[in-house]
Amino acid sequence: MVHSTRAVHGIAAVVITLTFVLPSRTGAQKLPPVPKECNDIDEVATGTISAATFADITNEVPCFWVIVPQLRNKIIQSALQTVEKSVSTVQQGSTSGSSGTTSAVSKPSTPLASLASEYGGITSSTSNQTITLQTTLDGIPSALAGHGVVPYCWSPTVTIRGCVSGTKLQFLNRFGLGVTANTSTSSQTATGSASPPQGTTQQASLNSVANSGLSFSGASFKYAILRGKFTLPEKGPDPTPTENARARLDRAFMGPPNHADPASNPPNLQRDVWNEYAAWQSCIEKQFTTQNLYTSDKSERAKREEDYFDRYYLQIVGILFDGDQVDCSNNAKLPVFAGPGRLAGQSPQSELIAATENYMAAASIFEAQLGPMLDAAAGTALSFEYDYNTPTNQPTTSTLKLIGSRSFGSKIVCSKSKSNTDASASAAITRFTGTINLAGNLYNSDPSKVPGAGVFRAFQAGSELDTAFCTTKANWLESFFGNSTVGLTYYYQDQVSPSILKVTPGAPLSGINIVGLAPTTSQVFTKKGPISFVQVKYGLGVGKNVKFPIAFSWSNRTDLITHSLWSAQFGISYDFSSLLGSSSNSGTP
Amino acid sequence: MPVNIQLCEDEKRTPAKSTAFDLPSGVKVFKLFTNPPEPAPEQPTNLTATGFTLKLSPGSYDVVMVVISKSDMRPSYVFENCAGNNELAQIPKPPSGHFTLRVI
Repeated sequence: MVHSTRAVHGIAAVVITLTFVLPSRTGAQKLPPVPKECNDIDEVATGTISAATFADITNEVPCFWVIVPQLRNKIIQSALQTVEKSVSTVQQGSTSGSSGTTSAVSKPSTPLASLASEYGGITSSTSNQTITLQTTLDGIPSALAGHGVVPYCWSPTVTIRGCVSGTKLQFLNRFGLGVTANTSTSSQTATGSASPPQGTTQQASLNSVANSGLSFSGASFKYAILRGKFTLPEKGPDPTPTENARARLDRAFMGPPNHADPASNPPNLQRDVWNEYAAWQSCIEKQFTTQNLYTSDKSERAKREEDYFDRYYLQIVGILFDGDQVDCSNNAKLPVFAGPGRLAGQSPQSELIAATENYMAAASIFEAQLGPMLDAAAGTALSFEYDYNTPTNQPTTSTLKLIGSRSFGSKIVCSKSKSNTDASASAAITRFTGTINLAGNLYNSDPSKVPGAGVFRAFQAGSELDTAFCTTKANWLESFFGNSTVGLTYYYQDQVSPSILKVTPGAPLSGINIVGLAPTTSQVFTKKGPISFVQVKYGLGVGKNVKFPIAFSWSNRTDLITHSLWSAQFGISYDFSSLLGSSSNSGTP
Repeated sequence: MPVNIQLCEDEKRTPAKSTAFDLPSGVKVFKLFTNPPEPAPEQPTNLTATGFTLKLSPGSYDVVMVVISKSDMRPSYVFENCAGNNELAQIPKPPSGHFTLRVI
């Protein structure tokens, strides 16, 4: 037979310096409104939660924490745990316009923080080694909150001095930034033949092009227009610190093993103090009834709640720290707190303080870690991306891109490693993810000197279908692929304005060798036309921080080269979100 | 006798949708009056996002539950589902709630 008891435990007190908030509240005839951290009183008034729940301070730690001295930021100090990240909706490396990328199609989400090194051009004729750094605007504040360096607001009703709020972080999470730099140092040349000059411009047919040197390649800005359906992640942050903190808190307020025996003492509190706490709980249950508190007039209800809160609920501070007795009479007066509290320095009270601090810290960090997980689980359904590209020896361009993504199919669970069968070391991901891109590519300067050229350079459209595989599945195909994704991409670019190479008249760029180039030529342009591009990409590393994408592609031409060619792209990316203290959880592959 | 515990959306015992136990270890059972709190071994069993089972020897226990929630503003409710409407706990403010058990 099982008996349950609820709300039998004691109360947490947060008294660091014993500079009570309460004296300023009680010093005046009219007290300030009920703190928002204590708004559960309205839930009691409306019958949503019971008065017994409200009278169990272990359920109302933030409220208690506000009505006693403020905690300091330094308590928010705990370690973070790493969790899984999504795979296929997050842009792991450079965007598709870069001269060094494995991605023909951009993804809607930006990782909290990642670094990628890739090789291979998609639509550009150059194939550079690039390095890309990406982050969302909430990356740094989320990391600081997740590590406990700065306090987290926990919820709209629980604010901590100087805290970062989940609402603001959710807003900032919509913005992503990325910077890409060329890092290759090869000395490959451009070769081809030029047609007769047209003023200072000349058309050329190129056979191969590559560039050299360390240079800025481009930057991208991404805004998540539409988030996916808000769902709970498969698993949340590590609950252990919160569980242990909660158990310690419960114990700090616990009653005696045998309530009927006066000699039986609570594990922490003084027996007489606990008796008064229990009496106070009974008083709250007696007085905080819907009959006493509820009225449909919200203004009147707030007044009633404030009156009862001030006259009865606030007594808990005096009970715990002064050894006061509860006054449950119908005409109970406002409590008065003078001085730091007679019992405040005693060890039971010190343990109450420590247990409350400990719990507040653990719970705040838990919620700080959960926030990015909820964002990631929701995913991004639609994004707008702006890319600023600086291809070497070519005019700069801008790309305006709309990116849509949707995950579908069954959920599969991938272990992080073959040797680890612990459920905590696995990530649930969605089998398929489809992504589409629609974009317009523009010259940032007027190319009207080039025959047939205009500011609008190209229309681009791309689609990608990713399939996730797990080694844990008893399937030879999945076992062969390992924890990975396989993506199939088709990309189309209608290049309505020719690509342009900038050269210095009379002094052609080093490494560019075009037969028939006139000494007065300053711009070389190529034949325009549609580009069709097909890619198969294998990405090793589902659910891991490190990923190794490798791709093989065919296209009928590139921006400069007018014949078909095969190419390969490969790279490595590292998502160091988990090192920063937060990470995304996987809802999609 | 095993006791089945259920996480509910409301007091009408609608199964939880906006709240879930934090898998895989978001419920821990501690022996009461131990210092520091000592976990009861191999408890709970069959933990899912919305339920778990307790099979405890006689004694007193503190059952600590950590939940993940879409909304911090919404309370959740914990019921013993083998005993009708026996409500064990309300969790007004995530991430944690608790109830105590005395097994005789």
